[in-house]
Amino acid sequence: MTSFSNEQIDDTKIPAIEDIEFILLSKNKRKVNVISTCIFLVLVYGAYWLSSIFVPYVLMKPWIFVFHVAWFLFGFMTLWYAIRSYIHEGFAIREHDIMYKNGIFFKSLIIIPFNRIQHLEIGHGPIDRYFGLANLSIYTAGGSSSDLIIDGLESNTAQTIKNYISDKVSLNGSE
Amino acid sequence: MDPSKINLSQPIRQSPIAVWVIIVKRAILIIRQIFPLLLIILIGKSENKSNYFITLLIGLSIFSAIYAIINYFRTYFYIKDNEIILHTGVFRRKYLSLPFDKIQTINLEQNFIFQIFNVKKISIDSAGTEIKEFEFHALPTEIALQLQNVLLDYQRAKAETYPHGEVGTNIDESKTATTPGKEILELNIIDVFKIGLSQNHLKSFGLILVFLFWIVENLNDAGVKVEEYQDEIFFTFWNKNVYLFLIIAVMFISVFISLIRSVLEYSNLVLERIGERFRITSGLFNIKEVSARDQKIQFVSWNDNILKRWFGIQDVYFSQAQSGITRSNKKIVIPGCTQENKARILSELYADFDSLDFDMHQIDKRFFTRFATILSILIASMVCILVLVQTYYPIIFILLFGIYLILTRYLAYKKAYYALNDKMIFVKGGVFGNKGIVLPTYKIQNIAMSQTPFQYRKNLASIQIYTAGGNLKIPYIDKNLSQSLINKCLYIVEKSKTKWM
Repeated sequence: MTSFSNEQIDDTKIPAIEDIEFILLSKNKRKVNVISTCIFLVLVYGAYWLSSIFVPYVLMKPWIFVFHVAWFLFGFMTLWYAIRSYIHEGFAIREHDIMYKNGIFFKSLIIIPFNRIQHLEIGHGPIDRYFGLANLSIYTAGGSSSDLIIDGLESNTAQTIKNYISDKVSLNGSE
Repeated sequence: MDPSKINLSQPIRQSPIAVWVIIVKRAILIIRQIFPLLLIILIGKSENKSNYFITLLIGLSIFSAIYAIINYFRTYFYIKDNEIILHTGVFRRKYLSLPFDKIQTINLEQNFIFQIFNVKKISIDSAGTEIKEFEFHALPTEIALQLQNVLLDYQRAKAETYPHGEVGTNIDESKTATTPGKEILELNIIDVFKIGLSQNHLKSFGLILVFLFWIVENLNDAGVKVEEYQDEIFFTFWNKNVYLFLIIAVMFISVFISLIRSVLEYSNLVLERIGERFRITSGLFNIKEVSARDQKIQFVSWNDNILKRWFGIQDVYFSQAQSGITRSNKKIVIPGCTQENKARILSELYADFDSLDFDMHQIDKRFFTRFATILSILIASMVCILVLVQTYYPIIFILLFGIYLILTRYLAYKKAYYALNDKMIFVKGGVFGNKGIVLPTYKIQNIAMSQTPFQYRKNLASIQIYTAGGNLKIPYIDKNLSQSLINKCLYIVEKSKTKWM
C-alpha cells in the first residue's frame, strides 16, 4: 500500500503564485519576433505569386484585390501581435519552481517544480544567434504538451538559469 | 524441466516453438508489404497466375524459415551482475545489456498453442536504454517464471528503499510470480457478455469501415479502378430497403465483433493484489498476465455508459508511466468492475482512501451558458441564411445537431465536480456516462493555468494538471480559487519526499 505523510497543511502559509513579479524577456526578443513575422509574410506573398503559375486566375480581379487586402490585414495583426506580446511574456524563478506566462488574449501560466524536471536544453535559432539570444527548454515526464520552452532569453541568462536549475535538480536527486 | 536445475547465469535459448512464432511473424510482415503485388497476381489475367502465386508462396516460406532458424540459434540470454545480457541478430550480430534497474514492467502472454507446448511469451518494458521493449517469443514456462521471479525480487528489494530511504532487509520469498494474491475481481462468462454488449460499438463499426477502406486502397494500388465499379453498383442496387438493411446489418456485425473481441480478451479475467502490485490475468486463447506496480500507477480513473450503468459495471483504468526518459504512458483497463470492486481497488492502492473527505465543488455555470448562447446565435444565423436562400432541408439537421451539442454540454456541466484535499485530487465528469479520476497530489509533474478572453473578463480560469500517466483538466473555475488550488498542489509536490515513480 502506498503510504502518505500526515502533516497538516496551514493554508495561510502556502506561498502564492499571485504575489510573483515576472521578469520580462530580452528586448531583442521583440526584434526577433518582428523579423520572423516579416519573413513569414514575405513567404506568404511569394507563395501567392508562385501559385499563379498553376492557377492564373488568382491574379485577376477581384482575387488579386481580395488577397492584397487580406494580406495587409493579416500582416498588420501579426506584426501588432509580435510587438505587443513582448510585454505579456515573462518568467519567474522561485526557490522550488520556475514559472512562465504568455499570451495577450489567450493567457497561459505554466509552473514546473524543480523536483519534477527531467532535463534541460539550451538552443539557438539562426535569428536568435544574431541577437545573442537563446531558448531554454525544460522537460518533465508529463508529456511533450507539458514541456516548457522559454524563448528570447539572453544567452548568458539562459545558461545561468540552466545551471541554477540543474544544481537544484541534482540536490533534489541526492536527497 | 526441473525448476531447481534452471541456471539463468548460463546462456539460455528460447523454446524451439519460437522458430514457428518468428516464421509466422515474418510471413505476416512480408505479406502486408507485398499485398498489392499479391492482389495483382490473383486478380490479374495472366494464365500462369497460379504458378506465380505458388512460387511466391514457396519463396516466402523458405525465406521466413531460414530467417527464423538463424534467429533462433543466434538469440540467447543470461543474467550477470543484475543485468540481462542478450545476444541476438540475424544479418548483424547484436549484444545488448538490460540492467534490472531500467526494467519497468514484465508481462507474460500465453496463447492456445503456447498452452499446449507449455511455453510463454515474456515482454519486458525498459526505460533509458537502447531497447525500449523486448520480447522473448517463446520461453519454457519454468524459465519464464524463474526470470520473472528474479526480476520481481530485485524490484521489490529496490522498492523497499522508497519512500523512507531505508534499505530493505527481508525479502519475502513467498511473494513470487506464482504466488496467488488477494483476489479482487474475477469475471465469469455472463460478466464478459455484459462487457461485450456495453462496449463502444462505434469503435467496431469504425474498424469495419477502416477494413473496407483498406481493401479499396489496396485494390487501387493493384490497378483496379474502384471508382468505375462504384457508380455501377450504386445505381443498380440503390433503394431505401437495401440501404436500411445494410445499416442494420453493419450495426449487428459491430455488436457481434465487440462481443467476440470482449470474449477473446477478457475471458477468465482475474484481478489480484500481491504485495505492492496488481496482477491482471485474462484471455480465452491468448492468456495475458500484466503487472501494475503501485509506484508506476500515476492515477486511477473509471467510466461507464448508459448500458454499463444498467448492468452495474464500470471500466477502471490504471494510468502508468514508462519513465521520464521514454515519456510514453500506458493504460491498463480492468473492465466489468462493480462499485465494490472499484472501492476495493482504491483502498488497496491508496492507504486511508476510505477515510478521506472530498469537498466537491462544481465548475462555473458559464461553462454551459456561454457555449449555449454562442451556439444558439450561430444556429439562428445559419437558419436565417438557409431560409433566405430557400433551402429548408438542412435546417432540421442543423437544429437537431445544435440541440444535441447543447444537451451534451449541459450534461458535462452538471456532472463536472472537483475536490482537493491534502493528499488527493478527485475530478468527476462525463456526459451520458460517468467519469472519475483520483490522483495523489504528489504525482503531479507540472500545472498550467489558462484563460480565454471571456474567462479573463469574468475572473475565471481553467487548470491543466500534467502527470506521467496523462493529463486532466478542470475548466471554468473562479480564478482566485484556481490560484489557491495551484498553490496548494505546488506546496505538496515540492515538499513531498515520496518518489512519484
